[in-house]
Parts: sequence; structure tokens; C-alpha cells
Amino acid sequence: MLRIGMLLVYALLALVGVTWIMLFMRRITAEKVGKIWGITAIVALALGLYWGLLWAPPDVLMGDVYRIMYVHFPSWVGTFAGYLAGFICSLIYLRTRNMSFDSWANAAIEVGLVFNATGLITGSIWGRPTWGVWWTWDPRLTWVAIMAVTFAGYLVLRAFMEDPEGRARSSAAVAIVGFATLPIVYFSVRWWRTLHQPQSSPETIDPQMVLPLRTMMIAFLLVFGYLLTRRYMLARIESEVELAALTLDELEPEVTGG
Amino acid sequence: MANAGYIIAAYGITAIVVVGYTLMLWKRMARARAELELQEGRDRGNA
Repeated sequence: MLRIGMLLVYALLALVGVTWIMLFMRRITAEKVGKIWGITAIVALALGLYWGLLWAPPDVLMGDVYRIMYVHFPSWVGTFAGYLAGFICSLIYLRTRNMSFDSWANAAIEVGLVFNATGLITGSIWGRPTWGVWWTWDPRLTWVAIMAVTFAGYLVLRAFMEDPEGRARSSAAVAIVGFATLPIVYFSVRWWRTLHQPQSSPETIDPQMVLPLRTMMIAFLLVFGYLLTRRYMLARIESEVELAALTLDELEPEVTGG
Repeated sequence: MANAGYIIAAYGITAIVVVGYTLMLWKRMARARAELELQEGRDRGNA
């Protein structure tokens, strides 16, 4: 089961890689690739949930409550993927001034924030039975909160600015500055004495726990990809609406003055 | 299963947030498409 499962995980990972490359090289549309990721995500989620909730053994110290890890950690994979993609697309936007990269950045950060929310909520639920508290101002948790507020600020800024180019420039700057919180969040468990445990590695946990964790990580990446493509398509339609409204505003005085 | 309530809450809330966001995206996409069609119709009318 373990070997077959791992092969399946690598096949899923290869699918994610190949489709990303095809999307980057414009050999496939965002809509099509989103559909592929969406359908594959359902299969991966079903497998990951079965392996994580029913097949993997309980933890020696935490018992069954550790199974929250199978949604908690993949949520952070989705969060980091979103913010990293947002950072890269913002840099490309500032260099090329191509508005489609602004739409990609907007989509990636919004979807990243959704996973940031699930990561915080599941972490809080996991903290209660293991630490005895729902929340504590420990360095890891505090930096995660700062990161979430920064990227929420990115979306608020976008909502309040009307000029498309000014909005794209300002929000790209916020995304780049906000990205600085990512390495701090990642290394906070090593830099400071925190309640949160340091990162685990496949060598330190049971292989029967590694399989569902990897499957759920890939499943969440696929869900992230699906949502990213949908949110990107929405951003493109919204900018077309915005452009059409601006064109109409310019035309109307001529029409009425006609 | 010990601490089942915490596990159900974590998985349940994650599902609600992700599915809820997906449904909201679909709804916003349908609304934006309708608005775009309306704008294009107005543009054609003005032309």
C-alpha cells in the first residue's frame, strides 16, 4: 500500500509540474488547467482523507488529535504558494507593466489568504487540546497574524483604489514588502524559543504518516491551483468590465452632446 | 477516536471555508459575466 501510494503521489506531483509548465508556456488555457486540477484534487483529497483519518496510526503522544495535521500543514502549503506566486507576479508586473500579472498576483494573494485563514483556524483548534490554549502570542503565531493582516491589507488597498494602474503599482509594492514576512514565519521556530514545534521531516515521522501528509499537500496545491485559475479568470472579466465602463464614460458625453 | 470533536471541527471548518469561497467565486464570476454582457450591449447601442 505504502509503495503504491508513494508512486501515486509522485504521479500527482508530476501532473502538477507538467501542467504548470504548459500553463507558463501558454500551451494550455487557465480554464482548462483549472478543470484538470479541480478533478484531480477531488481524487487526491479522497485518498488523503482515507489514509489520514483511517489508515495512518495514532501519534504516540498526541493520540488521534494529531490528524488535524493533515489539514493544518497543507493549509500553510497553500498559503505560501499563494503569497510566493503573488510576490513573483508583482515583480513581473512592475518590470513589464503587463496587467495580466497584476490579475495573477491579486488572484494568488486572495486564495493564499483563504488558506491562511484555514491554517490559523485549524492551528487554533489543534492548540487547545495540545497546548491548553486556543491562541498565544508566541513568535510563530504572532508573525503568522502579522502576515495575514499584511496580505488582508493588500486586498483592502485594492478595493479602495479606482485607477487600475495606480492600484496595480501600489498593491505590487505591498505584496513585495509583505513577502518579507514569509521567511520570518518559516524560521521563527528556529530563531526564537516558541511553543510551536520546529518543522518535521520524513525521517522523523512514521512512513504511514508521510503518505497521507504528502497526498494532502498535493491535494491542497491542486485545490489552490483550481481556485487560482478561477480567481484569475474573474479578475480578467472584472478588468474588462472596468475598461468597458471607462470607455462608456468617455463616449457618453459625445453621445448625449451629439 | 479520542478528541473527535476537535478533529471534526478542524476538517469541517476547513471544508466550509474552502467550499464557501469556491461557491462565492462561481457566483461572482456569473455576476461579472452578466455585467460584461450588459456593458458590451450598451457599447453596441452607443456605436
